[in-house]
Amino acid sequence: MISTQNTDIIPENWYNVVPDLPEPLPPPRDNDLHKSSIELLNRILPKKVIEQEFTFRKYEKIPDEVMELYEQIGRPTPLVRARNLEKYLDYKGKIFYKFEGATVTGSHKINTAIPQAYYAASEGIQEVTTETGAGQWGTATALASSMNGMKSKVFMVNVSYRQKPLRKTVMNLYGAEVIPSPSTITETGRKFLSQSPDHPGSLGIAISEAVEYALDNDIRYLLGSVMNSVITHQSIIGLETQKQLEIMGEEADVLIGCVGGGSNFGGFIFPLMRDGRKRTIISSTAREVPKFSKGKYRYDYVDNAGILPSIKMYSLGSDFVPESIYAGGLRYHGASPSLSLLVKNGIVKSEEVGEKQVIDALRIFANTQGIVAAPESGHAIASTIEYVKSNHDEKKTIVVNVSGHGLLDMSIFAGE
Amino acid sequence: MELGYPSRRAYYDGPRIRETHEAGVVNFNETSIEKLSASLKRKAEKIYLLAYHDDFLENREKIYGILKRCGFSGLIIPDLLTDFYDENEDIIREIQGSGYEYIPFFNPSSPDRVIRNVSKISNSWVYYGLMPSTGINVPYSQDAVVSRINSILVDREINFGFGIRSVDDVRKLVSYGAHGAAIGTLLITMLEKHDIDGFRQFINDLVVMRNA
Repeated sequence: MISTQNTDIIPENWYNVVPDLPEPLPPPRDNDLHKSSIELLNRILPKKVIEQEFTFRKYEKIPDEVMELYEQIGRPTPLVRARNLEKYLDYKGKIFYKFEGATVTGSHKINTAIPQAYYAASEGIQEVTTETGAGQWGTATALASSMNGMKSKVFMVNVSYRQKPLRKTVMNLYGAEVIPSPSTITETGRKFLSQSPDHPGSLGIAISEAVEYALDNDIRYLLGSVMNSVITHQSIIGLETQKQLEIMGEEADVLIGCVGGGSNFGGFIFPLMRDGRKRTIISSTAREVPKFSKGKYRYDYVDNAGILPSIKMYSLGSDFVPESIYAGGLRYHGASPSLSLLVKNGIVKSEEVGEKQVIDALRIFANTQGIVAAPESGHAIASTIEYVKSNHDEKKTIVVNVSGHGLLDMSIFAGE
Repeated sequence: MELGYPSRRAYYDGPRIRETHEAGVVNFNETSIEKLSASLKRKAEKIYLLAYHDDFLENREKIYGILKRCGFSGLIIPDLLTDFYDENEDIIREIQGSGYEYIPFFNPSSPDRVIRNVSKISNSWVYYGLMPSTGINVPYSQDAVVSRINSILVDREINFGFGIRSVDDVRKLVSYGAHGAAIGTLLITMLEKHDIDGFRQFINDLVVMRNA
């Protein structure tokens, strides 16, 4: 035993939803007739990650080394009944929140950064690279790389780089080199800078830069969201939640989470959906990035430069440059294929939440539960409050995934 | 033996086979497909036509005409169960109702229940793609892949394709319980290099293995 955490709650296997989907998941497609961007993945991703991306296996064993690191970074994360929020809303049912902000990096992102970094280090790789929007993924990559003895280089969306200097400091502290994107060190970055020297950047551009850098330097690229393998790693959220609910003698009727690329949400809901029980599932997105209501379900580029294969998803177009919104983690133009499929089939409902509603929800959650949640997670909390208000007389058990804390995002409350 | 109906949308084929589609679209005529199929029929008990969904819908009458005139036993539509899943039952019934076999095409991303459901309404052998696209190489366990599909579809003939690179690959697949293997990219590459001796040797090795 290395701590008093109840590590029995951490599952032994991750769960892959693909074999259990109601219809086939359209596979990735090459963008170019004469070369294979799918095969290109062999050059930038750890082999085990590619295998997990295309596997038919429902369960993947969590390596012992990864399990140990999961304990080190604070897993299992708590599932807490939000009694004060229930009282505040005068709700007769129950509200639980799974708090991924309790990990040492403050968000769910570390759940996949650790295994990806572990698999890369196992191949003898010395350095990894990635992109980051709000900074949570970059922070997770920086720590996971250090824990696995590797260097890391993080391309951070320019607008976040300027707005969140503390995020950069944390990543530096964990050993990462942080570069604002678009940058001058890649061809993709230079192209966008020549169009606009003050370009705000986007996650799509930052992904292209990181992939290009990985290819040019023969290092590995870590995937932050969207792809199946990432959601498989994130299934630890839902698997833990399920065990914790069982211990409490509860069953979830309503599941709510926020969606950027879809990894925290998919990782949360997919394991809980395995029982086939009918329940309400709500994905909460930013009103400024209306991917499910205004986006189209189609094959689209993952990254702006079209280096990675196209995937079928709800997308606003890879050239979509979102407003510099308060929740940088929700600015991505698309959503994961598995989640997109469930939204298309009406199994998952989508809801859009605006800035004022999110800030109000964050304040209510802080006042009642003491948690300063991340602006991204604020969407899920806002949707939870909205659900309770609209279904006040129900006595349902709501479980909301609070994907991260917002202690490095306090500027959104400035001027309040 | 499988013959591809040339397509501009050969999304589930890798670069090599896509190039053959590209040439096929430019040079296609029905006489050439008749000659090719007649030649293939001398070597194979059954021949199958592979056509992508949109090409099939846009050229329905022409394709049924080709199937009939050339003596094809059935049709493979590689994107039907992924991109056009909602239409699968109607199209399968139509093809089978017209007297042809419909060959279900699955891959590792096909959910278990989809494999079971589609297999119930189709009556032929099954084509299982080992990779997301032909000719490409991503890491996977052949043994596990074959065991998986065999455990879902007991007593069904299953032939594997996509990413098979050598006689050894075929031998391994057969040892795991595969009934057959589809080889495309490897042979096309040999033909492009004018490696006719290598081509003959490969086919010969396959025949020796089959007869062993």
